[in-house]
Amino acid sequence: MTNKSILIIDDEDDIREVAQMSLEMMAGWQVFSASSGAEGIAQAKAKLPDAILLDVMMPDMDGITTFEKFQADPVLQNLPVILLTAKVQPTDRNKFEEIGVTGYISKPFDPLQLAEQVSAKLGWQE
Amino acid sequence: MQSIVAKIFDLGQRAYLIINRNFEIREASLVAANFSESPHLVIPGEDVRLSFPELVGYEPIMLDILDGRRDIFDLKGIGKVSPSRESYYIDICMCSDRYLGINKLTDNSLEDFFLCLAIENVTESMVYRQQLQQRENEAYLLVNQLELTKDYIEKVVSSMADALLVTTAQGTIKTVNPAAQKLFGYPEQDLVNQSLSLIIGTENLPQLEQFNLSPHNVRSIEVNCLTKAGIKIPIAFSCSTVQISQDELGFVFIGRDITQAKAVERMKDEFISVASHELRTPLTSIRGSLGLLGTGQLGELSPKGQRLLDIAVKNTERLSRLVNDILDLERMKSGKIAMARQTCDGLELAEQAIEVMQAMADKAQVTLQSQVTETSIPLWADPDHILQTLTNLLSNAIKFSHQEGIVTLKVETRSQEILFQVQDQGRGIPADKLDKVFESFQQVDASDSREKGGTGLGLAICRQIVQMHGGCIWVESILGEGSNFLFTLPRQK
Repeated sequence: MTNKSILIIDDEDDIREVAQMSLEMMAGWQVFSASSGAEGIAQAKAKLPDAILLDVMMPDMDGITTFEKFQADPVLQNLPVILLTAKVQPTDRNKFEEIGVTGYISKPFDPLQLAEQVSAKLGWQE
Repeated sequence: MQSIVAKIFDLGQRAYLIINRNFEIREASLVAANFSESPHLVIPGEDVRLSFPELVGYEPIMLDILDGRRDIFDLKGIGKVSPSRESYYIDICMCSDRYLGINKLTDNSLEDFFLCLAIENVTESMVYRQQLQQRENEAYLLVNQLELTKDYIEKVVSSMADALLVTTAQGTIKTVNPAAQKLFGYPEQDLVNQSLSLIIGTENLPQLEQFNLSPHNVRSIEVNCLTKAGIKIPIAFSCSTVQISQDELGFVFIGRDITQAKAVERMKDEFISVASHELRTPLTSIRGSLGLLGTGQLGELSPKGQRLLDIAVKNTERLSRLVNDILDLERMKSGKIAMARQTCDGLELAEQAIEVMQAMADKAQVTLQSQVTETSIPLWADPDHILQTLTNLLSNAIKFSHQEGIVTLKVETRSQEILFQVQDQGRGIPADKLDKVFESFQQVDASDSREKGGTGLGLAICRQIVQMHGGCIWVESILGEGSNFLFTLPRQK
């Protein structure tokens, strides 16, 4: 499972870097990153990763809008997307289910567990 | 005098005297002497002024009557004192016998005419008149007092800074004060006899109809009201019942513009939301970095370095919990988190809670047990939040238990509710702290949050969740023997 590639989209440089190191160190995945929704869409088209970790709260274009753009793009619409979000409320959970994301992971995430959580959401077996 | 007239006059309350132009008595009825302080002088030939001195000074008038220049003259309300020292009043009516038609001679000389004095005891009517006057005075004083009271109440109502509206039970406005007119922008005549829906909107009227019309019933409601200019303003009303007429109850509304308070509340919510996000973001990086350092994959740490790393991880987690709890509590209080109720099973939730807390109990060497006699306890509740409440209570019970202690979770169905209990055998809570433990940051011991790793918000969150389900939470405790945290939830209907 070490040949997977992941794209992380988050406006926070530090979080992006920690998440990247976590996935690289703990799972050995190839990780790309982008600091905004627009850059994320461009990166996704260029790299076509196996999955995307997408932050919800971002300036300019938030995670939900970014996800909707993925959905509207024939090349990207089948890419599994996992949202990275602050503590999830039941109302948010319903909204996420409605729009059709693959799953969500609450922040702050445990760097030792992150790769396992992502694998579980995507159904990737060890 | 004719005998019949004499008889009428001699009935007791009336008498008559007939005098000549020298004021000498010519004739007196039997009881005439009773009205004189000198009864022995009420005899023919005596000067009438000796027995009735109140006639002194009226001689010209008496002569005018005798000479035909005046028909009649009344002396009213003459105060007298009886021989038994009782006060009484008489009226004396004077006229000539010619006027009465008794003397029908037409060619008489003036000397032939006599003056008739009719005396009447008017004590009774005088007393009535005086009583009437007294009542009139009292009524005047009462009206005056009422006007002063009315004036006072009007001044109070007019100078009130809060809006006052009095309506019938159906919501027809009967009274508005100047503050209400100013707040809603309507003159008084545009509001009186109009429906309250003019201000609070028709959609809010049902709230009024549901209000129990019983005396001493007071309720607070917040309503977005509409001004004449079409501007919506949030108003906090206190509403109480009032007897507006003998057989009709109505409502008194006292309202205050809470636009400012709402703005402050919004700012507070925004601040908490932004602050918690801003706090969480660096926490995510710190926790992530510390976690990765701790793997050893980036190089081995010395034992002291590892110890420092553990301290940093532990406190980062504590800070994360605190930020989450503050945000949770504030969101629940502001209604941003609603309870997502669904049918669930109280027993399953209890089992899940024990499962979640088992590792913590094992680490603390505390036995975790459940006591349940029923096979299923259906609940209409938000399972996630009830689970959060149960794990919070179990976590506290474990933290405050001694090694080898037992923590028991009980669930049972009562007639109207489901009762959950979390019992421990820990140090207990002093009686004076029992009420405070559900307040934010009100731990029994100030060092608890550091030593036990709690945030000081756990029980406040539990209370909020239980109250949002329409239940109650409380604690019973014996110092040194343990505590029992109990909460109820309404039974599923």
